[in-house]
Amino acid sequence: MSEDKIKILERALEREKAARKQAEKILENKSVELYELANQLKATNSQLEEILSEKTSELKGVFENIVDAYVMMDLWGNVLKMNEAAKDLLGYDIDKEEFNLLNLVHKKDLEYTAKAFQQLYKKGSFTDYQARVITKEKEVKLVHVNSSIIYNKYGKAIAAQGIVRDITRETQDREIFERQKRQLDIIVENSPLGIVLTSNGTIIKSNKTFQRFLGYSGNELKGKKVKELTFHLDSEETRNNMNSVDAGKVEGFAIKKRYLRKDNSVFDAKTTVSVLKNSRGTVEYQVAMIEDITQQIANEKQKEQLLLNLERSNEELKNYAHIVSHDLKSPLRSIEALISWLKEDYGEAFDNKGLEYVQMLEDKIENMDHLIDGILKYSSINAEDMHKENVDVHEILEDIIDTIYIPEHVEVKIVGEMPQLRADRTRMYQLFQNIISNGVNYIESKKGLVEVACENEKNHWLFSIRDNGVGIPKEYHNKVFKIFQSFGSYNKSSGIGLSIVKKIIDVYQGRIWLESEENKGTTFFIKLKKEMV
Amino acid sequence: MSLQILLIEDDMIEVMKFNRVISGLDFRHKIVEARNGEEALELLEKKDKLPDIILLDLNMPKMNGIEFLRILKNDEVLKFIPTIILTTSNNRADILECFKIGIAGYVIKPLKYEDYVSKITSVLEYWNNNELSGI
Repeated sequence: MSEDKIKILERALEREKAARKQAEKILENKSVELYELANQLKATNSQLEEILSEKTSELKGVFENIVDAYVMMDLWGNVLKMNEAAKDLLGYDIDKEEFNLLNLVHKKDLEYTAKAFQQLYKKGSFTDYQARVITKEKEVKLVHVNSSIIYNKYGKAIAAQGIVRDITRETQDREIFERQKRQLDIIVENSPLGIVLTSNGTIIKSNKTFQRFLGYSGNELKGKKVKELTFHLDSEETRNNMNSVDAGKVEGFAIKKRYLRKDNSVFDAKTTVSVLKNSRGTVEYQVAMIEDITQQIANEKQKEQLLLNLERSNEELKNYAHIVSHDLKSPLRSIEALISWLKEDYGEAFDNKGLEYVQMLEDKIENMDHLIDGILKYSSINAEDMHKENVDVHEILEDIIDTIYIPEHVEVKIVGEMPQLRADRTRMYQLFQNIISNGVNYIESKKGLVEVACENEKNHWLFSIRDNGVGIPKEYHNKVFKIFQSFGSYNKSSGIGLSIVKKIIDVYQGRIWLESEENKGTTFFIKLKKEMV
Repeated sequence: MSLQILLIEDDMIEVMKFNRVISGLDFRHKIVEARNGEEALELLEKKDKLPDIILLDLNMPKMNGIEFLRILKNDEVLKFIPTIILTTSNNRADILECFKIGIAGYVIKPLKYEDYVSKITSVLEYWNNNELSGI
């Protein structure tokens, strides 16, 4: 071997040594790296294990402590797992017996349930499932379920889970609430009163009646200011009332006010406003009840008008009576004067028969004069012209006895006490004068007696005027009080006296009637209220 | 002594009645007749010979008694003439209105002539004793 060759070989060996050294070095480094990595992995792994165990126990806790029922089932509805709440809800316990959820579903909800399952498989979840289930105790419960599919790591569906909520009670409550609301709505909507709920002067709700009153729809009214609907002349009163309500002075008020309809016509209404306060005592809402008083006002106006007409025609009648009485009396007076002059100037030309005729003429004229006076008196009796004064009946009776003509054979007696009345003196005088005159005039017996008495009843005075005169036949008992119904032959009778009596008693809302026996006498009874109107 | 009397009356027989009463009296009263208020005002317009008293009927055609009375009482001179109402009307409203405007008496014509005579006689006797000349 040549030197050269040796040298070459030696150098090659050197290079090889150096390369190996380098390789060893790299290997050593890699080993260290690997070691460190392995350590790191180990740490991470144990960390992961820790987290996993944490999560598992967490989940377990959630599963056990969840308030809502939780059920896990296979894809055919067989229950795999359930929590305590689910056991309580369904009455079944998977740890004791196997069961299938689909068997619990109310048969009427089966079809819906089938569809729900289809969707669950297809989309992976189904929310707001609502159906009736029958528990082990045969109770029907309405449940609400949100469910989802559980997949394995290869993405294959293996089970389904659901959170079940018992909404039986909740639904019942809601139904009761809805029913009550409907009932309330029926009342509100069918009320003949317009009803409006407002807050700060803005309409929140109104019923149909109110909408009909004003010609707006419910939506049009919503959000409208009450002010816009109020007839401008009225608003100040309302405002004043509203202010005192706001100030807590009153809980509500009632006023008559006018509203503007959609067509700008004015609508008369009575409005009652009540205030609803919140727990802090500040006004939250106002409820207004609106009553249509258009008709009422029209009626009142009509009544006023009628009353006015009545007053006017009463007045006219009174004037008319005066005019008629004047027009009738004037010629009567002239005839009287002419007859007097005939007697004065030509009296000697008459024989006895002629003078008798003249006397009869004069009597008839006097009769006619009484009649006219009677009509005038009758027509001027009316409630408005009556005074209220203290009237001593005894005094009046004595006055009458002193004044009227009483024949020699007749005596008028006041029997017992007479009351004090609050009434119109002139009318009371007319009343007793006419009835006593009537009694006095119809007495034909030798010794005539007219007795006036009075009984003190609880609320009334009962006067009786008894005579021993000719009596009144039964068929006339009612007629005597009617005008122009004098049945007697006594020539001073105008037939109006008792009509005047009746009219005065009518004004005082009293009563008059009579008892009579022919040829024995008549008793008139007059019942007057102690509290006269 | 005798009175100058203005009688305002539309009814002929009433006028006759009045004249007949006067003619039966001792005093020679002078009567001037007017058949209604307008005629009376014409007579009074002259003012040189004014009556001592006026007897006035209320119910008359044309101007009625109350209208006449109002005009009379608004006149500065004529308002002093005593005016006595002689009427059929016992309507309270009429009576009150007359007294309100200003009258010297209110006499209601009675039905009977003899009552009329005594009433008129006493009225005239009363005014005959009153001093009222020189208005």
